[in-house]
Formats: sequence, C-alpha cells, structure tokens
Amino acid sequence: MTSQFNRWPPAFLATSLLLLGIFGIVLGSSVGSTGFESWFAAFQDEIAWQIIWDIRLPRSVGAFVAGALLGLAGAIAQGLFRNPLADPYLLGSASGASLGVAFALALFGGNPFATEFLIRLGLTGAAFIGAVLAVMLTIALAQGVQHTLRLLLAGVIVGVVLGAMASLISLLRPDVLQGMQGFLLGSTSFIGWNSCALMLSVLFVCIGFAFFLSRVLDALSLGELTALSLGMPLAKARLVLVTLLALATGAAVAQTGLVAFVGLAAPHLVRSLIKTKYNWVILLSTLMGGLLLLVADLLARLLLSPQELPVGVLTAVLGGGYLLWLMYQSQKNAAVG
Amino acid sequence: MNKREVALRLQDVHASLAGKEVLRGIDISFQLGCWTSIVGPNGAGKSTLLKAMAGLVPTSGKIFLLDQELRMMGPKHRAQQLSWLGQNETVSDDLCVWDVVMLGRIPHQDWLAPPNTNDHQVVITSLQATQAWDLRKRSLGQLSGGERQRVLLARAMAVRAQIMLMDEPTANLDPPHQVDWLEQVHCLTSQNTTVISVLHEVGMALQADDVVVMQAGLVVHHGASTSEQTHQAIEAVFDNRISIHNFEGQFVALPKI
Amino acid sequence: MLKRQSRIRLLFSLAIGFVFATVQAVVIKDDRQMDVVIAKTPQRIVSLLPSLTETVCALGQCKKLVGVDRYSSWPESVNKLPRMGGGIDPSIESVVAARPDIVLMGTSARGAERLTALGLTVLALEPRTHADVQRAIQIIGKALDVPDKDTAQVWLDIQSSLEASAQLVPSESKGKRIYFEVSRAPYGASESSFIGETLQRLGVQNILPGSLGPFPKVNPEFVVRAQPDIIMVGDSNFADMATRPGWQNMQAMRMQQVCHFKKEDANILARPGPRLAEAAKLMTQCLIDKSATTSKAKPQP
Repeated sequence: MTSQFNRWPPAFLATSLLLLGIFGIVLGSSVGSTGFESWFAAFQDEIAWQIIWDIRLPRSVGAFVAGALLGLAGAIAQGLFRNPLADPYLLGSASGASLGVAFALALFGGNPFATEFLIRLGLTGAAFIGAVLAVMLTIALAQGVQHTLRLLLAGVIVGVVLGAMASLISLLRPDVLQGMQGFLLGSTSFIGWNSCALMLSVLFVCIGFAFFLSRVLDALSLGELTALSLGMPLAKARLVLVTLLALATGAAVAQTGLVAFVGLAAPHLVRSLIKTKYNWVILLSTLMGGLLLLVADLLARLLLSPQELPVGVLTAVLGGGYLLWLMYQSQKNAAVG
Repeated sequence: MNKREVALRLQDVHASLAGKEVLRGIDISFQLGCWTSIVGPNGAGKSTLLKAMAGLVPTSGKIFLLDQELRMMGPKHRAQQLSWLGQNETVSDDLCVWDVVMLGRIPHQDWLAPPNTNDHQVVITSLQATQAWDLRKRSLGQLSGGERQRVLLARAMAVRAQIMLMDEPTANLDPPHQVDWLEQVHCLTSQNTTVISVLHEVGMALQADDVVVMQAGLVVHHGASTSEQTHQAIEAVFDNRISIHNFEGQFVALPKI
Repeated sequence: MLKRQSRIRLLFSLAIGFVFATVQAVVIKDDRQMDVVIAKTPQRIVSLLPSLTETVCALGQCKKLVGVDRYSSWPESVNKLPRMGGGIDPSIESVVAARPDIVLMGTSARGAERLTALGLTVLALEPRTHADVQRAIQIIGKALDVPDKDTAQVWLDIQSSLEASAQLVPSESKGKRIYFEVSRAPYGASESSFIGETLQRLGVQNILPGSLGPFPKVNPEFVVRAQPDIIMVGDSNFADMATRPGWQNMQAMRMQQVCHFKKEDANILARPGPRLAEAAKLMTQCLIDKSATTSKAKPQP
C-alpha cells in the first residue's frame, strides 16, 4: 500500500526511469564533438562507427552506471545516518581518492620502478584504493561503526586531513596540480567498455547487499533504539552498509573523478516524487542517480560542442537547481498550511 | 491479575549513562498480565529502567524475561517477546503510516519475506485500536503530534508481544485519546499481556494495577495502585507538593497549595 | 623453366619485402616506459602538448599535423588546425575522428591510456630538462622517419644559438644572482629546472638551489634574504610585486633590476621545447638591459 502522496506506484516510476535512461544512452551515442548527429552518418563511415560504439556508447552507459553507483551510495548514506544532508563522500572517500590520484601523479614523473607498477594500476586504481583506505581509516578513528555521530566526525577529520595532504603533494610537485584539477572537476570522457563492466559488477553486488539490508534501514528510520528493540542486528548491518558505501563511491570516483551532488540529490528527488520503503528507495535512487549523471553528461557534451563543460558543474546546476525549487515549494506550502 | 507468574525480574541491576550511574541496584519483579506504571521525579532513572528491561542499554546484574536470561536470548526472539516504545525518538517523516505500523511486524517476519495476510490483519487491527485507520495512507510528516503518537502506539502494538514497555505513551494525546489508550491497556492485560509504562501524570499512573515509585536510581516503593502506602510513597517522592485523593472510585493527584 | 624462375623471383621479392617491412617498423620506448610500435611512417599527426607541437614543426613535419591541443600556439600555421581539448582533458572523440597515425602527448593524462585502448599509436613524452628536450627531438625524429642528420641539426642549431646568446652576455653580468619567478604564490625556477639550466648556460647564478626541486614554492622572505641581483618575472606577476611585504626595500627592486616579460613571451619562456634558444635570447636581452642600467659607461652591443 502506498501513501496517497504518491502520484504513481513505485514500480511504474522505476520502469519510467529505466526507459528514460535507455533513451538517454541512445541519445548520448549521437552527441559528440560535432554536436548532435544522427546515426545514419555512421553507417557509411567506419571511423564514425568506431566513435559511436567505442567512444560515445560506453561513455553514456558509463555515465549512467557511475551515476547509479553514486545514487545508491547516497541512499545508503542518508538511511544509515538518518540525515537528509548525507552524501556518499561523507566518510572521507572523496579526499582519499584525491590523495591517491595526487600520489600516483607525483610518482608518475619520478621513480621508474614505481611508475611501472603505477601505470598498470592507473589513476583509476589509485583513486579507488585511496577512497576505500580513507573509509577504513575513518572507521578505525571512530573505533567501529556503532556511534554514527563519532563516525561522521571522524569522516570530517579524515576528509580534511587527507585533503590537506593532497594539497601538500601538489605544492611540492606543481606539475601534479593540473592533473588533480581535472580529476576533481569530474569527467566521463575516459570511460571505455572495461570501465563500464567493472562499475556494473560493483553496482550489482552493492545493490544486492543493500536490498538485503533495506529492512534495517527502514527500522532505523524509527530511531536507533527502536530498531534495536525490533531485533535488528545494527552493528553488523552498519559495518556492511559502510563497506558498500566505500565500494560504490570508490568505484564511481575512480572512473569519473569527483562528481558533486548526484549522491545527495538522487534520493531527495526520489522522495519528492514518492514516499515508500527502503527497498524501493534504493532501487529508485540508483536509477535516478544514473539518469541525473547521464543527462548532465549529455548536456556537458552538447551545450558548447566541440568544447566540453566539466560534468560536475552541470550536476551541481541540475541537482542543485531542482533542490532549490523543491525547497521553495515546501516553504510555500508550509506558509500556506 | 491474581496470577503469580513473573513476567520480568531484575536482580541487582546497575546501569550508567555517560559515566554517571543512573540505576543504582534495582531488584524488582513485574507480574504477568498486569499493568504496572512507573512514577518518579525527573532524573530518577525511569526511562533508563525501561531501556534496561528492553535490553537497549548495557547493564550489570541479571534480567529475566519469563525465566530466560535476557542476555542469552537472541535479538529476534527477544524482539518477539518484548515491544518497546520510546519517548522522543526522532522518526523520519518519509514513511507512510501503514508502512510504519507494518514495521512492528518485523520480529515475526522472515528476513526477505513480504508481509503475509496475518501481518496485514494485525496492522489493520492495531490501526483501528488507536483510531489511526483513517490516517493509513498519509506520510508521517503530515500528521499532528497526537496523530503521530497514535501511529507509533499502533506500531508498538503490532508486535503483539507478551510484554509491552512504553515510555510516556500518552504524550501529545488529547483527553479522548488518552482514555482510548487506557481502554486498550485494559484490553491487553485481559489478554494476559504485561504492560509496563512510564507516566509522568500521576492521575493516569494511578489507573494501573501496580505502581513502582523511583527516586535517584532506586526503587522506593512497589505496590498496588489502590494502597495507601503507595499514595504516601508517591507524595513523599514529590516532596509532598501533591496530595492524592479518592474521587468517585478513582484516584486523582491535586497540587497542595 | 620460366615458371621456376618467376617463382624464385617472387620468393626473393617477398623476402626483400618482408625484411623491408620489419626494418620499417620502428619501436620506441616513450616516457611511460612502454614500447610503442610505429609500423609505417606517420602521415597524420595529432599533438596534445605545445612543446611537442613545436618539436614536430622544428623537424619540418608541420604539414603532417592534423590536430593540436588548445594551448599550442607556435608556429602561426598551427592556429588554423582543429583544437582537440587540452593535455589533461583531450577530446577523445575529436582525436579518433581525425584518424591520426600517431598521437603525441604528455605523460600525466589518462587520455593516453584511453587512446591506446582504442587502437591509436600514442607516444607519450614530457620534457622537463634540456636533456629531455634533446631526447624528445631525437625520439620524435625517429618516429617521424626524419633523417638522422636533420634531427641532429635541430639540436645543434639550438646549441649554437644558446652559445651565441651566452657570448652576448656582458662579462659583468656573469655570476650575477638571478631570481626567476614562474607564477604567483610565488613559484620560482630553481637550478634543476630547464629555465635554470638555460640561466646556467648564460653564466648567471640562481638563488634557488636545485635541491628544492625544479619549481619550488618559495617563502617570499627567502627571496628577500637571498638578495638577488636581478629578478625575472612575467608582466602579470610584476604588477603587485612592490606590495609584497619587505620587497620594496630589496636591492633589486630599488635599483630597478627587474625584467618583466610580456605575456606573449611567456609561452616561449615556459615551454621546454625547440624554442629554448629564443627563451635564452629573451633572458640575455634582460641581462644586457640591466647591465646597461648599472654601468652607464658600458656601450650597448
């Protein structure tokens, strides 16, 4: 049974988001350095075909999957911390990824032995490892996942300290700065089919586990003690959920850099359309996050083609703009009601 | 009411919060199928006692739930026997009323199983019992304080536990709904459910079968709500600023001006 | 008889062709420590690093360029070529659409990985010192099948030009202590940077030792303490130099021993590429100008 507030049932919303996503991906394969061009041109030209299949398609699919990972992580974060301002980067994963990238870039131009291992690992590997290690550090600092306030505080500390370390590295090696800047702004331009496959497998694993634990998140919405009184294994569940958060965020950030707002806005957007339990919220946030990043990527390529806007700018504008409108609406309603 | 079986027994229970000892050695037994209310001044440790009995705060000493030690019980088993309703728990506004009450069925559901017909029936009954049936499709954020409280009560009742622990269950409820709640409790005890509630309103507390009087982390008195010693204990613990009078068969507490 | 002869001839030419083919394929190790195989002489080149663009043109292969990054600006002809993003954020699609036989880019971008994965031949080089510039010229010359003596000539020309500039430096300027500021913060060029190497070639000293790294961020106090004889800086940074605390009293500032380079010249000075000699000329002119100010008796050369 769903709330009378819902204009449509969750299954319908999920299907529409998915269909819109597929439509967006097809659209994405037609948008590129020459703006919008139809597929028909591709049929004659082998290079154009390669561009569509090997560049634009994996890029659009990758944008959707990365956005989905961020949306999922955002839903988990907001449920776990019972805080509508929670986003996937809460536990220091963003700064950890930046530090990993700074480290890798600094070593690239230096020691050749380190470089060879690092080349194989790549910036993506460095970013992923950095993100996951940062979350582990946060958990260690908070001495476990039991106290959410301590966890949040530790996350802030880790974020600030690691960020400072990354800045220090870019200070000692100024040539690292440009590469880091590119990473921080976020970009989908380097996503190939391998990256997509990697992100997709992480997405399926994380969504599976998150589904499994959606009951705990529902119980948590009644309050921590109430959830405990209902027999929920909070300690174990929290550990798993934080791990999912780290994995999903790390996987997304490794491929696309730091894209702001998707993780924060996707669950909010879902909740503005429908009020339902966490099993649906998780699925819908995933789809909504994917759609958000996909649309942002399309616009990033289309608006100033052949130049590209950084995708992080567009997610902030899109996501933030909608949230502002939502706030305005709710204020209006509050004033009237 | 005259059953001699013990629902909950506490043996030398101590509990500390933030380094300060809040329960300083509680020895008490609660009768099965009875409604016991706990009264006392602020800071007496009433809420903490309730949480200790629900297994929500770490305690030293022993707590027995129907002859089984609480510590030994698995969380799901305990959740099926005990229903706890807290005071001022921050509840998120996003769920709709039906889903909230359905959450009370969690202890009885298999992990990934959807609610079955019995669950549905229980939720319907609980909603009707608290006059929240009409609210079932609205989200929690759209309700007033009293409506919210009734929904949370329904959630606690949906657990269908043998023992119900309720902290300030009548908060925000207007008089008609307070009376409804009273009737519900009588209905529950007649079905052999044990109800233990913390109530700050003395008049309401005296409607119970038994009263536990607490002060500064200790149980000062435990007796029938009708007995004179109980009334004296209550008056004493509130510095004799109130007096308890019999009025048409019921007891009321009036300020002593 | 004829059939046997023609068969032998066929086999022989096949063998020659095979040898030729394998000889034609060039294998080069680039700055990523990867072996890059160049099967045939590249006819279409995309360059995503300005210093590499300039190197290609210095080797006389400018006409083979089909695309450059947005920062490449020399020679003029390059400005008419399609732009393919920057070094850090190349437009993968534009590069692929240009069907290049070889892509030249720096080492610090993920783009190299992606382009290689798409099947393009990518040569990643990031020259940072004079030796790197020489190596880059050699490697690119080999990759583009430029005759060895032409490649060597390019470097020789640079060397002789540097030598000539060194000769023009007035003897009293030799041994002067220079502070070369690269950007606000302030970042300076130390002895170990390519700018520092050029200065060394010109016979002047650097207040920033090589042990600080090539482009250290210096404490402004350090500069004041070191009391450089001459300061070299870009126009945009020069504007507020006098407002830095303690700087207005520096010997170099008071005696107007500051060379500020025009914005257009900034590209010449900042790129470790074939225009090293041009950069040296600018620095030499600075030294000459400043020596004329200190010693009015010295005639202008």
